[in-house]
Amino acid sequence: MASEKKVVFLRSSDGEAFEVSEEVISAASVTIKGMIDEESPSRADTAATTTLAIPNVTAATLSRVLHYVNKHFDAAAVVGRPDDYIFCAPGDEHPLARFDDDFVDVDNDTLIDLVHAAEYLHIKKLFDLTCKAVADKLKGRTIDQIRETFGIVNDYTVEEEVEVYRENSWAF
Amino acid sequence: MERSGGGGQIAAKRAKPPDGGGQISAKRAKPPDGGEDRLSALHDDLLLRILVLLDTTEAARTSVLACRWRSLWRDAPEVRFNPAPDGNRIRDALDARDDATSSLRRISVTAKDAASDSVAAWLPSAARHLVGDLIYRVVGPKSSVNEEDEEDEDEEDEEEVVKEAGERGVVELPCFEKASKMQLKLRYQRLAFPLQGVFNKLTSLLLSRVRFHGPGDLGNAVSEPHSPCLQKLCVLESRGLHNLSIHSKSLLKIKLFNLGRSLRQLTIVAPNLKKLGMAYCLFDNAHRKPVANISAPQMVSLAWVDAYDPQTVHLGNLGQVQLLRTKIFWVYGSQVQREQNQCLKFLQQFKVPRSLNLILINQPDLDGYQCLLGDITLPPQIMYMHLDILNDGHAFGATLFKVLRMCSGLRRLSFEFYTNSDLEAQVTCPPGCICDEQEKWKTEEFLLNRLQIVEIIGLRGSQYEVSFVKQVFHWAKAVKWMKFTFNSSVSENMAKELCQVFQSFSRPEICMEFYNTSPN
Repeated sequence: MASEKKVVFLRSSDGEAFEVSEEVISAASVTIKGMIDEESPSRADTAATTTLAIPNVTAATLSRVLHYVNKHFDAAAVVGRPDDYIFCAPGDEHPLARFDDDFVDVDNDTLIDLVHAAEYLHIKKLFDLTCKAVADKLKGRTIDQIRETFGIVNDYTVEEEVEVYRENSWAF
Repeated sequence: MERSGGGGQIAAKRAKPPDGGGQISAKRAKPPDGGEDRLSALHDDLLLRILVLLDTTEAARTSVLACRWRSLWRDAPEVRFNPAPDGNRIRDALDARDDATSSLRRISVTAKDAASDSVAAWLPSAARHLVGDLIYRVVGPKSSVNEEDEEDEDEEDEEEVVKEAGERGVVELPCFEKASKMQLKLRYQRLAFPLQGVFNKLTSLLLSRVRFHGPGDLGNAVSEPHSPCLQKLCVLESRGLHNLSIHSKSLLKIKLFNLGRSLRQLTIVAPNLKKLGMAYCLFDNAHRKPVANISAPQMVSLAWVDAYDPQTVHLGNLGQVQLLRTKIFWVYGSQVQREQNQCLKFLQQFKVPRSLNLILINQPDLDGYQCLLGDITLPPQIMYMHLDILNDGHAFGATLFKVLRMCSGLRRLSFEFYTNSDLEAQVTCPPGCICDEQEKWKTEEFLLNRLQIVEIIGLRGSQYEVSFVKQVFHWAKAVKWMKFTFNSSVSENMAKELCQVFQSFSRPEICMEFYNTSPN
């Protein structure tokens, strides 16, 4: 089954190659779909597989991204269609909600790598998910907690800081 | 100017913020483990994508994190306050923006208890800055302020809510000259439209649970010249609208749903209107007939679940109407009801709609009634039909048979069954009830040869339903796709049993789908 499907290889910035179904990655990533479309006249239907360089994404991040992509964009893996009756109830969580929660439950550096990768690869669902995960780390926290969480250095002078509080006094 | 590079030497001398609200820590935060600040290193667009996911108050607080963050939040294209703070705070947030660097595409505010002066504080600023959508909701004390959550306030006592809303004063809507869409859900708070000004860019206006309040009126505001681009108008569950007169060349869709049957006079002159939906709006009693004058010669879709009298309701030229949804048809009724059948009179106005939606209702007790269906004639050219059926325990096979027999050209058919919630699923009517008198529908041959798609929603698994479904398979020899949705009271086991029963009626070429509640 798998051998019938076309695959492509993605080479990370640190030189590691990952195999992924062409169909799945094209559905997920606008950027890679564009690269494949550009390559396709030269490949035609030859047996040669394509390797695409992904210079902005490390192996560690790329493997995470592909894990996400295979979960979300491999139609065969998503729902156990078609013979089984489809029972769905409103209010049921999206079947992948749990996976998504676990997926972004990572340290800040990893999360920000994922934001960058999702943006570069143009994977909208992943981009939205990771941006929301960053926002969730800002929500309900004090300024000090946010600074500490993300290592943000307060570079205001005393006068400036007073001034910033003053201009935004409505928010405090 | 004294600057600190992340050391701690000046922190002890730091001033408190002027309003004392936010605490500044005594020591400077250091990046943990000497790591770099990768969040602040994200480019502006990315950080804004993240900031718009925060409530605007929280987003604005990030301004004190570091210089990098000082004015970032102001460029966010959206402002959201869910829940709303005091109106002055919303005003300050809006007025902090610089429209030259970033335009405000959306304002979303959800208020739990909104006195009109609090709303009055920020609406003018909103009108000045907004170039996109305004969403302003007032919700009840128990409701979620989460923007995505739909209101769930069915159980509230409407009168109580109206009375309480009356105490919150009148919301005076300024003219939003640049806004493109507006949604106001006011929980019966009074709303006054501006007398002057032009909603230059407004394309869509939705008002829900509004109490209209003079002197400016809705009809004036949504008509030319005040709303030259308005394409879509939707007024839901609102009160206090007695007279509505709309004159617009731009309007394409109008939906008026539940104005408490208090609309005494409706005038619509909209030469480009394609779609009109009306339900429970027009005033109608023994002394006063419903009054409406509509001129919409381009109309293709008309839903009229409302009072109708051919003498006082003038619908103009309806030659283009292809999709028709009618008011309730009482399947059984007395002689008087037969003579006054508004639905029938309404249907007679139309020659050949392509798509028809009928609401068929049986009363619980049919004693002394006669079947009124014989009075209907439907053109055989109808291609799509949806039937809403409230059968209250009666057999309905014969009823549906009579309707379907008239429409041999149907391509697509859907039913939705409703049952009075007071009644059990399997209530049967008394012996000798007229609903069951014509058994011949089960044996009489007729074919729906063009029917390809059938959808049945709200199945409870009654014997009536099963035998009806069986007949549908029999009548529709060319059907390709059947979709069944069970009522939520049907257990999973029962649903599986029904699936098997229905599959035993089926043929190999038919694609069957089953759902156990109504898919949204």
